[in-house]
Amino acid sequence: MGFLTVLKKMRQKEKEMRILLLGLDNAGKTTILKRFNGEPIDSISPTLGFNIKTLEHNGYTLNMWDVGGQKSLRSYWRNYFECTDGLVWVVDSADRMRMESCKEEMQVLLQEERLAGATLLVLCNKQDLPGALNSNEIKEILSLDDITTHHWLVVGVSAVTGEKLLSSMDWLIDDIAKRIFTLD
Amino acid sequence: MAEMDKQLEGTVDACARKDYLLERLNKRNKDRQNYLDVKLEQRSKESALNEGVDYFAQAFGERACEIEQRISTLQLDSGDAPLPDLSKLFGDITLQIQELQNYLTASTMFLSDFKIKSCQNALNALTSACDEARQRLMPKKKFGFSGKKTLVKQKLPPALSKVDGTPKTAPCSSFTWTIANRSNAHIVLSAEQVNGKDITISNLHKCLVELQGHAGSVQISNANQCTLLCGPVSRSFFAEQLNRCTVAIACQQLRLHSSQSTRIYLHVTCRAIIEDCRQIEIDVYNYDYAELESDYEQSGLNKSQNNYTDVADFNWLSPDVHSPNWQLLKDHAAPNWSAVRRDFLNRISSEADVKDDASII
Repeated sequence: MGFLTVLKKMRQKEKEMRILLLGLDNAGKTTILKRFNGEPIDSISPTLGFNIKTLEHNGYTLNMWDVGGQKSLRSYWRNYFECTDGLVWVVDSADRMRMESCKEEMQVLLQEERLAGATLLVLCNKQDLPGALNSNEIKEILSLDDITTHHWLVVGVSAVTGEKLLSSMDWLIDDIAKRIFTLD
Repeated sequence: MAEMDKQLEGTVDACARKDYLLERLNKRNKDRQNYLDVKLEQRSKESALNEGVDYFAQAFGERACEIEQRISTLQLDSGDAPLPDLSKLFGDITLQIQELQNYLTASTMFLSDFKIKSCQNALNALTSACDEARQRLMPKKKFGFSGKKTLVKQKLPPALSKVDGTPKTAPCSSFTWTIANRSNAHIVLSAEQVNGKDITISNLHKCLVELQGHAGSVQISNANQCTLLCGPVSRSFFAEQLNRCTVAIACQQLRLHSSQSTRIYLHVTCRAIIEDCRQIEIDVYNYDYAELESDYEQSGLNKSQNNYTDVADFNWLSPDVHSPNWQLLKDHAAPNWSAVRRDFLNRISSEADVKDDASII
């Protein structure tokens, strides 16, 4: 048994995953995290720095990292890339004005070497707002069909109503589990 | 004599037994060593087979070569007439590249940095080659925003609105500003145009903008020497590149970026943040009009909760020293907005008169 195999077996026993939540400011990353963790979401202010939550879901331990999306914090995102199994890219579906910069920031991430193995889940948040773009429109705008380097899925969700939030997270966890925990 | 014989016989016998025993021990030792050697060899072979650097280099090279060949044969084939299902072929190739990427990622633990980097480069080259071939063989429709169009048509000159009236409509996902590219104008959006909607504004110069009713959110990009008067906004107010502006706003969250010399009369129920801003002055919201109470109610903002004194500056993280980029206004008479409006209209009309005079001359 080689060193690599020992390490993988160790990880398998713990069933741990590291998930990184990123996106532009005001996309709703912290709200999604709190909603997923069952915390109140009525008094969330812009994230100065980052939040970490460890939670159990479907028998896995998820380490969720939510890093603030303001321009001045984006340069720190790369400090969190190491050992990331899943990347959740959160989009404010009602923010038509900044869709282009949303696309640019996401494409920078996809070229990142340390995120090469990570599964990508694009959450089109705020579907409960009347002016929100739907997930198909956002798929077009972000040119998601051109992504060949990562497993990806795009889902329209609402952190406020909780719509489709759990099912999309389940997909992410399943996809990661298939990759990490089944070796043979 | 007979006794001596017996004794001799005994020694010979003992000698033989000793030799025999030694031989047996030696043999066993040899067996054991052989066994160990074989085991050792086997083990090293096993681990090297799967995780050796050499093995990895060879396997990676072979697979990369194979993918490269597939892409190049595709390109050769393209000269001939009908092709097999291209999208499936490309899908296959992409999958192969992805598998190889996984293999590399899984093997990073025993590879040197340089090796990882060079392999990654090779993979990137393969991906781009594949993309390039795909682009050439099956070109894709490009998506893009069509030009910025203003929604406020009632104030456009008639010639322009005629052009707008042609059936050429933009795709539904394209982005249009609510108000854009205006200067020296008094722009009023009524409650029907504003209620619950996302209002976007860009490129204003010396304008007075009034948003009546309760908007869902307000976004402003690039305004110079403007005044914005706004009722309660349900969610966020986002502004960038404001220069020498005055804003009166009630909202859940305020985010101000890359702005300077701007004064904000603020009611914020959650928190205000600024980033890359200078000389921002904050005072309490004092805009008042007849329907303010009902607009507060419909926007869902809590009128009694105002955190306007607590502004977070993303460029100033020291908790002990106050940020130099913003300050609360003190000993300053609150502006009378109807007077501001009157002065503005007077200025515009006088400037227009000057212009008219100039055109007459």
